[in-house]
Amino acid sequence: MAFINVKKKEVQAKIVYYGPGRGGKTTNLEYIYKSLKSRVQTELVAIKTHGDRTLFFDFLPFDIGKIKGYDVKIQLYTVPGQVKYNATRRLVLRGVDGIVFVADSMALRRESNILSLKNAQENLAYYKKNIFKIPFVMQYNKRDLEGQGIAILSIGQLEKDLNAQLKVPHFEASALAGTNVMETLKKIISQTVSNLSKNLL
Amino acid sequence: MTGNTISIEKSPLKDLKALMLEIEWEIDEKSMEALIDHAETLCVTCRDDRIARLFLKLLVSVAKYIQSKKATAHPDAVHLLHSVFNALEYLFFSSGIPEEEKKKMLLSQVDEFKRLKEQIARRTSFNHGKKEEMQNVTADMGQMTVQQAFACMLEEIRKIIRAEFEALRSELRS
Amino acid sequence: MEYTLVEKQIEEIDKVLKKEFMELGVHCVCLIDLAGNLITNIDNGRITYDVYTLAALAAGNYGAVNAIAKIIGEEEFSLLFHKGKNESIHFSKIAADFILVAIFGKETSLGFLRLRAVQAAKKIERILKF
Repeated sequence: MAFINVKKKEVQAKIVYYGPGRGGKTTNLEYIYKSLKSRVQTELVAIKTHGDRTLFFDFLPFDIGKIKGYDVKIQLYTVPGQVKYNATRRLVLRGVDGIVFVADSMALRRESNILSLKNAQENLAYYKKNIFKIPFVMQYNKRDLEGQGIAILSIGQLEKDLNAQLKVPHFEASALAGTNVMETLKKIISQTVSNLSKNLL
Repeated sequence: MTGNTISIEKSPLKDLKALMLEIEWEIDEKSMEALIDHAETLCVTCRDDRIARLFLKLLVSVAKYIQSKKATAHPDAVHLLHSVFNALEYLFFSSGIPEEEKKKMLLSQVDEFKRLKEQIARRTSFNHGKKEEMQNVTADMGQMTVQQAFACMLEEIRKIIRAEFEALRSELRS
Repeated sequence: MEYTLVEKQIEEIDKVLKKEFMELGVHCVCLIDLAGNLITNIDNGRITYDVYTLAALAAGNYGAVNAIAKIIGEEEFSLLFHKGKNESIHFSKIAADFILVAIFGKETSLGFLRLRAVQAAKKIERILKF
């Protein structure tokens, strides 16, 4: 949950990119880092395995300017998607203010998407957070695979599987190409900040 | 510095070194008590080696200060403790060191000890004096100026340092 | 884990950090929460690393080690400390939700730092009481 430093007039908000393994969470952050290089004061921190899979988390902090006189610092995290890293995912979710769920559009990842979303709900509940009440944006990634001979899920199917109850904003994206990556980010930031403004500022 | 070396296993400092290593990681009542006890026992064992005995007494003084003050001890006290032990360890581990060199090593540690005492006295007097000075300044505005209060404080510090030096001189003489 | 700190509390915490740690020659000391937020930090003016990233990683590290402790049947570890060639880092828990991270060099005694950390923790816990 956001930390407000009254002395420094600063708000720190935590946004976590969640989703199944190899779905494109880290790729999202890498694209954001490349695009925002001028505003990001530090490097993207990525704790990975030798196989380039996220082991612990990726971390990217940046400023988005002032809101109601407060400097808003956004902290983007990704979680490791592999099933065996659930304890780590839970750790990273602590104090989360907004979530981007990066779903994998590949047909063979359908079940992984559903299980990962359920996992997110369980891990949020561990911190007494309700998935229906937290700022949440859905990203259907890897849309660029359409027409490349790889079976991908339709938006209708993805919406039915993942967004039928949540009914949150969704974006069709390609993290590799950068399509709708920044739009996803802007949406989650505006949702998170307005939620903060409503509750805290 | 010259001298032949003796192994730690055979050295009478073996247990004391273990205790020093322990307090490098954690300073608590039990380990400080053990360190002091051990050093005092060694004092008796080394009764024929005057310089080693003085080193050990110095070690005990500093250790007792840290034991009593704990977290509020002056940070340099911990450095001095290690410094005194390292010098002592060097003495024990090396044979054939000339007497003059041993005395120089001891005096160097005593100088550090004096410096620490001065720093502690300054720190204590500053804290008390500052409180008292503020009380004096606000309560007896007409009777004592800030300068007079400060001069009183300095005289107190000088008295404390003189008393500490006297205590140390009698320790070294005995 | 909802909390709010007023300016006076942060000022008081800064005073405690200056007195208990900077006097020892500690290079940098940060108060963070378990989510990785940086509450406040004091340093010797010579650090070149980003404390926000440090805070995120420190919280992750502390959380991971704590999880390991529970797996092996421990409530928590009494010492979390990493020793470097020149710089070392020490973590101490404050109340339920905060961590004090101290970065120091060879000139600072770990044993003494730990004593000061316990003292600082008590003072900060008093300041944090809501």
